[in-house]
Amino acid sequence: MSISRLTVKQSAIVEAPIASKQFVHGMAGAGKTTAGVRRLRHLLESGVPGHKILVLVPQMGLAGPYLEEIRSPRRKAGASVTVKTLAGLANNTVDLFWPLILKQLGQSEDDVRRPVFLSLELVQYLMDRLLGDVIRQRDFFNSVRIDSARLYSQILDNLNKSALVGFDADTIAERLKSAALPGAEQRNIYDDAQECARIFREFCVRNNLLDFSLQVSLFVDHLWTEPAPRHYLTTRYTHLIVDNLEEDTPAAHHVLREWVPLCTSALLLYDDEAGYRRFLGADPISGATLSALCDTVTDLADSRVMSPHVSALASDLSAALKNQPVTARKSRAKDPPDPRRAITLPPTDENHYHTQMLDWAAHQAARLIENGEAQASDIVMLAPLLNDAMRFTLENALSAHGIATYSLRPSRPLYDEPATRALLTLARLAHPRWVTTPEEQPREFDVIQAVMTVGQIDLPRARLLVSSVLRGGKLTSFDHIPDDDVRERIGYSLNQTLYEPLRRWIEAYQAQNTPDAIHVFFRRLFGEVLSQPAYAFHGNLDAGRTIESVIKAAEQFSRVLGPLLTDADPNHEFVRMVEKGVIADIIMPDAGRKQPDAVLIAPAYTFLLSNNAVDYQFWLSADSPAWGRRLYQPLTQPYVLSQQWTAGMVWTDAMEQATAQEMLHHVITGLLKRCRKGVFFGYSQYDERGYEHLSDLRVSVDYVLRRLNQTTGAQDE
Amino acid sequence: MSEVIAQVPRPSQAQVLTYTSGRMGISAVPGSGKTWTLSRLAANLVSTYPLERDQQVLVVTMSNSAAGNFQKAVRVFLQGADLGTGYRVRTLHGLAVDILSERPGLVGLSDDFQIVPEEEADSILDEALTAWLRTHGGWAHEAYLLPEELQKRYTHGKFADDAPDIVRAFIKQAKDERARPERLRAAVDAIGAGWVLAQMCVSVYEQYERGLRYRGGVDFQDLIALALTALEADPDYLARLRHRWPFVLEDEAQDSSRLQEKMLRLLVGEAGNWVRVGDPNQAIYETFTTADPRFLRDFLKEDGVRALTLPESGRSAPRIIGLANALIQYSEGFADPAVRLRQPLTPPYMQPLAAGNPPDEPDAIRIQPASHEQSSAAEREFVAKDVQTWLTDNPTKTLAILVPSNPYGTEMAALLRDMEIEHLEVLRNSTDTRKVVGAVFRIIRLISEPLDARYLIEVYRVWLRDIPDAPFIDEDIALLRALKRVEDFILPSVLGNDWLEQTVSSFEEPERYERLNAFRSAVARWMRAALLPIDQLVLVIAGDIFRHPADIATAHSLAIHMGGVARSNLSLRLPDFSAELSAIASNAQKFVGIGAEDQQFDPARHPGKAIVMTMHGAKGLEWDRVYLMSVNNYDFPSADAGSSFRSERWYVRDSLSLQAEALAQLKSLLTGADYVEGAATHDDRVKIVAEKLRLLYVGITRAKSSLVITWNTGRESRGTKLTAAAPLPRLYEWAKRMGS
Repeated sequence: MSISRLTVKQSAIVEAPIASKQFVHGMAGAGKTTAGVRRLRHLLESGVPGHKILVLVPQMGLAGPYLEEIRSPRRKAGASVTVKTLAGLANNTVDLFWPLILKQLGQSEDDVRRPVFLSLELVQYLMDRLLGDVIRQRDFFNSVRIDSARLYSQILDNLNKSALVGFDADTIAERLKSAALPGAEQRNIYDDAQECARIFREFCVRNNLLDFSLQVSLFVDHLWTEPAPRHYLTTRYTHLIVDNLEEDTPAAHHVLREWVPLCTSALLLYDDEAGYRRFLGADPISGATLSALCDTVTDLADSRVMSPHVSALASDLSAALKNQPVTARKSRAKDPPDPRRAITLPPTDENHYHTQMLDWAAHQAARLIENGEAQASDIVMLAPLLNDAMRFTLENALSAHGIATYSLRPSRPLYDEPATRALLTLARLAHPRWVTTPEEQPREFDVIQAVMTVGQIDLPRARLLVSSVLRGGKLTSFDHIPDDDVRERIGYSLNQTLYEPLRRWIEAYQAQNTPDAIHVFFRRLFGEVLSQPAYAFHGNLDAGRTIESVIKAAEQFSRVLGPLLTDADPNHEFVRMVEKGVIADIIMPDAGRKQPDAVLIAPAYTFLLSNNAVDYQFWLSADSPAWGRRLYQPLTQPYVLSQQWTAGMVWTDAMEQATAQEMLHHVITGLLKRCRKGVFFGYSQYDERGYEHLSDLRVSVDYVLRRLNQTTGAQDE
Repeated sequence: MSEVIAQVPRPSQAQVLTYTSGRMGISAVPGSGKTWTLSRLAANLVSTYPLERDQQVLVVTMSNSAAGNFQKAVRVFLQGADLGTGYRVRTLHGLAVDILSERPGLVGLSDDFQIVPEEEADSILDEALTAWLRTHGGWAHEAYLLPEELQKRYTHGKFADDAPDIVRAFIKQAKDERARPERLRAAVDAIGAGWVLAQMCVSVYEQYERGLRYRGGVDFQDLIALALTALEADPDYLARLRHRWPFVLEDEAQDSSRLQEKMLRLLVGEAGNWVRVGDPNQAIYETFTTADPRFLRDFLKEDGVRALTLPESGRSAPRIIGLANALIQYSEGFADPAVRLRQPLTPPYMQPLAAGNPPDEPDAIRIQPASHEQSSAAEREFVAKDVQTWLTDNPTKTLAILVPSNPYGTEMAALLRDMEIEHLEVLRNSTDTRKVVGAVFRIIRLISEPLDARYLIEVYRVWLRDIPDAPFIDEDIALLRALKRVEDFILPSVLGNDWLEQTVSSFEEPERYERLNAFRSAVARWMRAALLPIDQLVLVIAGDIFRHPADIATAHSLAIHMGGVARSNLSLRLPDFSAELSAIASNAQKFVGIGAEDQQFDPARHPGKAIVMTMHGAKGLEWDRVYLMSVNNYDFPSADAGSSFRSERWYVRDSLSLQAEALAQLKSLLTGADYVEGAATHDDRVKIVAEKLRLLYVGITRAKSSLVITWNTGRESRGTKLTAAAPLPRLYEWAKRMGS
């Protein structure tokens, strides 16, 4: 992150006395994080020991600028600054003070079993094993239509909300039911969800298994209230820097409310008009109340990102989205701010079909780069929802112009990633003992796909290679291919650099006396073979992140369930679990690492949460209703399960409308605040399904442009 | 288009166009220009009513094709005065999807809820039914089979083949009544061991709903019921939608079901503005959906409803109009009082315009006399020859062969093909859907077998399907056929030698080179997409090759279908999906896309060809010459003793219609009314007779200038000979009197 010269206000924040407590708020792009990072540097340079400083962020993806500063070569070696989320802090503290928790829970302190921290993948696996039969036998959830993966994630979401917002997990159903409309058919499913949550929670407590919600509630309700752990934390960290306070949860705010008065210095940074993680429990209103604990409150009002034209577009679009009038600005300036110069629309003959819109976007991005108006890393392609087909088509369209891309995806099944599937196929090839039925034999097409993925080989050659070397589920030597012509078509160099090393590695692995634990297998396969320069994973950030997820999930699985699964091979069981479609934890790009020189393709929310600004944004599928709509989850409700909800109220359509409007407003203004030069507004008459949609977003943009044209025309006359 | 705008309304149309608010119901005869009138009315309202920014005039239709026609027509009338945001045209089901998509949580749906494709829903049902029959089949056989059929495995198989239709009808009706399986289970358990049909249907319904739930989806039938539930659940939401749509204009109102009407009634509200247009005489979906023309008839009589008629028809020659009116008269004097009471066809009679109808031709109507017997094969041959002659004499005119059922249409099309008569088969799940699936299949097959040049050539044909007459295509195909290594063509950069450049010079034949180059880029892209999940792969391909919205929609529903197939069997891979697609493309596996009847089929675009279609599918369309085939007492049964009914299977005792009996048992479960075996079968006959009369009316009124009606005695193998449909002699006499 480049740190430009500070404004007067920023300097005052950075250079405030060490023993000061400051609350800084302002819009995105006003330079709050910059001030936070510089304050961190200032503290360190003023002699505050690094180990005394805690930087708290709502998710690690937002920690990038701080990690970059800490890892900077100019930092002296020594105890490092701690950068954590509340969950990370909870995890460490619960682990450290486990005997105390046992005592509080009335269990024997002599219990030798340590707590086991469950990943999201493991929770789903356990829920499926624990709840699958219960749901079927007791005919639970018979009035909702959602698949089981989403069912489990919503049950879990409710537990998380109870911990993060701070209400009793046994009252989830009661809260949801009281807010439902009288007579609403699905009220009974809340009881089902409550019962499932109870069964899961009881099992976890009995077996010392701690999912995210249990870690947080143990920390907040059992440790933070105890003198020893509280003393440990508040004396260990006496300087707090908290960024994106508005995206954090009431649990974090609760802890901070008691911690800030006890610390030496605090800098709390708060983004006005954000709260994009509300569906994950973020509570901007509760965050704002912490300002009362601080000595100073500073408002960083001006954007250091938006050009005057973008700024004018943000203000007009904001008005239109709030149903307020829009009129042309009166200005005597030579180049007055004009929203129309910050937005580009597709020509009418290029927006009939979805793919036309994508081609148009790729073409415009190429034009910007060719004309030197932007670098690839300063362009993002955003859509409210981004499926594989759309991402693939965009990547290809941009690649045809010679433009590299990378992507951020929200949490989704590990198995959906080609890199994961390749790893699993190679694992199957390396473990012939897993094959007990012919169906479990590695399939030829899986191996073809794996070869394409790890070797970046085209399909025809991958097909030729695999059909020539795969014999009875085993990879045989290239040299045994009898036909010279076939060998030549596949390519001798491909064999030497890619196929043969991989085959030999698998052969050597099979010669081992005992197989490795699955995560060790993956780690070795990746480290010793697939990350080498000849392979496609070398330097591929997207694939690297996926593999990191798989290894992490595998490690947890082996460690936690390995001892419990006496009737099955845990390695094989892990592979099966992933194949069944378990959803992975979000792995954000390494926050400290510089973004590649490539166009980012991401869902709009994911981009907003990464908190970066760019020159140009492409808003694609602008007519999708998903731009301004919360995720509907029949078993949960983020607004009702929030601290701001008053018991006894009923969630009405007007509230739904108001929140939808507010969300669209937040997203659009949030995006514009992260945009320096302009927006490309991509929409098509027919969407991917062949449907015609008309979104509030398009109506509003249309309205702004029409009004401006009308008022400018009138002024001209 | 300017003609459409300039057209002066007929007096009855002008009266409709004076509408500004309130409730209005219009009975419109075939050819009365109701699309023109209703879309003009919509355009008038958009331009004159002070719509707020978030308000729209809502036009509701029954089919996608009608929605497309309205969309176009309103746009033309508005002449660009509106950006397209002042009105919304939706099918009833599309409207339900809109309502649900905005607030899915109100009815327990997640925001990415899936509408389970019909064929997948069918397979859930089949699976549940098979399981039930395995354990309870004997019980059902004993209850309903003729004694002599009880031990025959063949008959058991027949029963199993017919049972899905019985259960499907039961579930449809139960959903229309918003009766959930739990409620029916309690009711059926209370009755005990009797009522085998209800036992079977309720058990399958329970499993079927479980299956839908497991998939996180709803079926097509659920949409209206759930939308209605959502509207009832949240009065604020309802109020907001009422504000959004201050006018609701409804087309084909005779085809509304009780539930659909209820949904619109709620959406409009007590004081709302609602215009309903329809023709009770064209209600032809009553027996296999829950539609009923009674609802429209009742609406026309309601207090406060301005009831108008559009009786003038400019479509047909006066003599054909006369024949249609003769059928209405026949219906009014129908011998069986039960049928008469049901009012199969009612006035208004059709009236020709003062000027403008096609003139009467000397041989305008030809009807096969009731005394002239011929087998179905002979009938097809007669029609085929007659069509051949007529098309030779009238190469610029339009012609349709309308049949009562899809299988008969397929046989007819096969004969036309054998006789090399140019024709177009527009049957459900036929050409268009099959073409879309076929195109996707060929590409997926190439990805599964990327080294096979034959498959590459087939994909090349798909690539060029819209320009089959482009120059040098045969030469290109010959070149590709000679290709030894597919990769030399597809991936020149990888191997260093560009086969294409060496074979077709980009300098000497730039256009041809460009065409092949674009093709190979696309193929290379699809091959890279081989790593995507199958549904996403289909979407990528669809985005590249389809441009027509209906094709895109079909491809999208194909993608969802394939995604479902993949989820339900994790061991399937691309070669397996290719086989599945092949089965769909060849019609061996059922997949209902956005079928022909949903697309905007325009007969005028196919002059000089014989269009083969069902009479149901032909509704709303017109041709210069129309053939109505198989008008016998099987496809058009009467209430007399000689008629036989498809619904009464030969192996079932007492000529019971098991479907009708199952529905009667459902009614009893819900209302507590007595169930008397056989009564429902009798009522069902009456319903069928009435609807078939309307179907015949629809068939007749498709003809502009000439009409040929034929019938057959059935298959040679059939034991009893069929006779002409009961109204045919009357129509024959009428035509004869008129000199045809």
